[in-house]
Amino acid sequence: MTSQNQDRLHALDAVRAFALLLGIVFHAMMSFVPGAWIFLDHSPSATLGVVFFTSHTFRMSLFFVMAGFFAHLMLTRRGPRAFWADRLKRIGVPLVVGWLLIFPAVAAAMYFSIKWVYGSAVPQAMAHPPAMPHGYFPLAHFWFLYYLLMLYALVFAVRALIARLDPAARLRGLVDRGVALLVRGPGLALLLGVPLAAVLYFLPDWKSVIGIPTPDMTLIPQTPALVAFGTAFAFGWLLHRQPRLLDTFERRGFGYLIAGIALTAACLILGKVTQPASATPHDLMKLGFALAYTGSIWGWVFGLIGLAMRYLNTESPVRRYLADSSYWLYLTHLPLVLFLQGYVATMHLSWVVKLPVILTVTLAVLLLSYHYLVRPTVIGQLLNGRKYPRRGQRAAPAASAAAAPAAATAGEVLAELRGARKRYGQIVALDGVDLQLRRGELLALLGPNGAGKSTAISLFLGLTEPDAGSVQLLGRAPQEVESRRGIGVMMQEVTLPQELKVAELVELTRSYYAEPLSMRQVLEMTGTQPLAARRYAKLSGGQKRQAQFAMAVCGQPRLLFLDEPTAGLDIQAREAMWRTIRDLVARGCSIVLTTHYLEEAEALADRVAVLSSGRLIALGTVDEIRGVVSRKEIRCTSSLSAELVRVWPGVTQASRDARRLNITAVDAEAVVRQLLASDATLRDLEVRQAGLAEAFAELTKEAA
Amino acid sequence: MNAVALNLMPTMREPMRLGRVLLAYLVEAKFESLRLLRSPIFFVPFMILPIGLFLLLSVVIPAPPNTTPQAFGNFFYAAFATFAVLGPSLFAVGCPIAAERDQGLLNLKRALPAPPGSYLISKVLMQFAFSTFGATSVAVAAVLIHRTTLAPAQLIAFTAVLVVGTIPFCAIGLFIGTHTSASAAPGITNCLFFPMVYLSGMFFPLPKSLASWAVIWPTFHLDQVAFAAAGLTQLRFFPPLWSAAVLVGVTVLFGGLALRRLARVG
Repeated sequence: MTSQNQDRLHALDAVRAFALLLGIVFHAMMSFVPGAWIFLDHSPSATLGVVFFTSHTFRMSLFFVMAGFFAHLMLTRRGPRAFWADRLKRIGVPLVVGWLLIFPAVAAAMYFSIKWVYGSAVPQAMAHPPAMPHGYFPLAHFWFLYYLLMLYALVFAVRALIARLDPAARLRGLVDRGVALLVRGPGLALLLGVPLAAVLYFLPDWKSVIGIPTPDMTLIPQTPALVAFGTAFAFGWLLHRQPRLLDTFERRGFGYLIAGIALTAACLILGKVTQPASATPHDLMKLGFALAYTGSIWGWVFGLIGLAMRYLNTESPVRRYLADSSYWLYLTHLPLVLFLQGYVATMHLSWVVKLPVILTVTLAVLLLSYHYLVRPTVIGQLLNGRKYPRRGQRAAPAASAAAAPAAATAGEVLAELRGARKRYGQIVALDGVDLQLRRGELLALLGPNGAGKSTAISLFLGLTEPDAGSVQLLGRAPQEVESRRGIGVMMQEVTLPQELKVAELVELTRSYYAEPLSMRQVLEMTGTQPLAARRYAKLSGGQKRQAQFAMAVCGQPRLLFLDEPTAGLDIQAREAMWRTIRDLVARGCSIVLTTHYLEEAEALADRVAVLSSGRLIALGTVDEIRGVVSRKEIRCTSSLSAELVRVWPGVTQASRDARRLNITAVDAEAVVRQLLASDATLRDLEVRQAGLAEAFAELTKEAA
Repeated sequence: MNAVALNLMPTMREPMRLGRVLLAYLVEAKFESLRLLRSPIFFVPFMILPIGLFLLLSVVIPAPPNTTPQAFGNFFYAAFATFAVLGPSLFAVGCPIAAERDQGLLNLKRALPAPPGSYLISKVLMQFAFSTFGATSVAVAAVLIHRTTLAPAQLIAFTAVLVVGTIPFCAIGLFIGTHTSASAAPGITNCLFFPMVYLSGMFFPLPKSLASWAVIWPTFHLDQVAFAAAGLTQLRFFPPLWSAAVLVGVTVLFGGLALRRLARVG
């Protein structure tokens, strides 16, 4: 599969989930629509009747198209043996076990509903139900699993037959071309409804409101259902033979959707003016209704797939979760829905309130049951083919793995990112970063804007969670308040409460810590005594940074995060803050510092980590980082012109002022030799390693 | 910056004592109230508006012909008392949090070891203070101008239920505040505030087509519970226990979603 095709499946996954979830809504509406269920709610609704009718038109056909598509996909990926093993497990077992467990609950819900709604006055028709069909078996909503298994068997039989009759694959080529024509030709897909329309037209007592008669009362295959869902399944199956055709859906989606809506409207109008059910078999109205109905099915199917391809074609954790849970939700929803419908039926409340309540309670209960009883257990394994570990279980090995080295080296590593990955929409902010902070060191994070520095800090502080990888802060998860009690923070973009005075801000922050410094100590240490009694709003930019610094250090943190601490400070204040920082490090405090000022990193850092485009491109001591670049700076007093020197081999840059010549060179020795040879009067020769600034520029240029 | 003799690296760190944790909540509340006292423009409208409107409209609007002045007076009092708690509860928690989120303050608090929810609790406490003041002032005024026939105990019960019943509205405000920007939060909250006031049937009897829809507004349920607590039977349309359940449900739903977002996104 190409990655493009992988993307496609997100959309189709969403469509399948939508079809199943729509089924839950459909069943929840049942008791509010006159004639649709064994009792009618005291607040019926004709509007809901329209939604009810419409959703029932296409939801199962849509599902079976997806089922056919995914069945062919599985067969081509895993072969017939694995296919049947999987289908028996994920369709066969839920059919048998699910029915055994759920059907009694459905029956009980119906029993109670009737009791609540009718009391002792059970209507005559219900006391003496009509004759049972042949092969009577109350499949309830599990019928779709039964038909799926039948269709799998059928499609295998047809495959075997075609393989024998059509060894040159001529017929298959013809079919593929036919399918392509149906999909690509404008509006031709509506023709897919013709076989079903014929069956419905000749059905003796077709109840048009119900559409395709639901085959939930007997195990004997019913022609209308087999034709309707067989067409859908076969189409889905054949569609996967040519996945490129999916592009067309995206383009034609809106058109088909409009066709579906128009045909459904036509059905509703026809249904009002005539009663196709009671008409003679040769009634033109009945034929028209059948054609409009079956056409609307395919209009909706193509339209909805098109919309999904257009708008739901990307990965989304929420949709993914819903898609995973939809199978469980659909299998188990019916008893709860029926029970709630019966319970609220006689209450004097509008359906506007009742229906949302039924849906909310049902979905809440079932999603909770899914989350805790299904997703992490063998049931989830059975239904979805895989088991998701529980959150706690998933975090536990990562945490213990992270804690192990910390314990082994007696608390050497205070904070750590491991393979941390974080993306915001399309932007990858961090792309698998490993970073350790050791006790008593000052680690400077350098990088151009958007390199991922702030994201790294956010992960350390537990403000965001990584998409992949793990984070450890003082041996724990950063979200735990206990681990944060050991840290101090100075953030870059923050507006503190304007109304409070500096001393009050410090006092508030002190209250968060177990053993904070005294107020006097904090103010003295950070040189903020003169600011203590002033309101934060009245401070200059630099003074605000000083106040924030005081808040950061007041809790005696073992670990300090300083995001651009000296931005906006004058030179004196900056020097003073540097002294305090050095002092803190000398006392064993570990510091992570981000800065734009390279001389700050050069002056303070034990180690420097250079980030660029979310990746860690260099990590080492200041000297090591400088050494990454072999360039040296040469300065001398000389009469040579900069233009002349600039073209010498090994020279990357040259400039001069009145007296002195400044050269940046890759091969300093050769350049110096040439300088001495060219100018006998040359004096004051100086050669030095290029600074961090040059190294940084070089590194980030390479990375970009 | 002088060197200070510090024990900067206590080797053994014990978990914070409970007393200190509780103290942290108190300190947070203290500074929250200090902030508000220093910027009275924020809370004065909450305190002045309900009582002001109540006094003004009491004079202007006479009892309609089909009711007794007593029943109308009680209805009028109940409407304005509810109005008095609705403003602070919807606006005073969510909107400041939206603003503080935009300012990065919320993220700083999340990064610092602030005890869980302390800033939230302090805001809810402030809101309780405004609501209590607002509802009490309306009650006192109603007694003074003889607009209500309720006994003092009934008034106290009514006020108490209103104040405690602000919690679901705080949750709604918080939900909005955690999901929108500082500039959008007041606007969106207003879009909810006015329908909540008028469509719940609090201020004037609704036309029949709208009356059955009053049940979708939590304000309706708050009043139903408050009427039940005060022993007022005339204006009760809904079982008070169900109304209380609706309010709890609203709190759990919106509060839960808001807290979840606060914890994850900030």
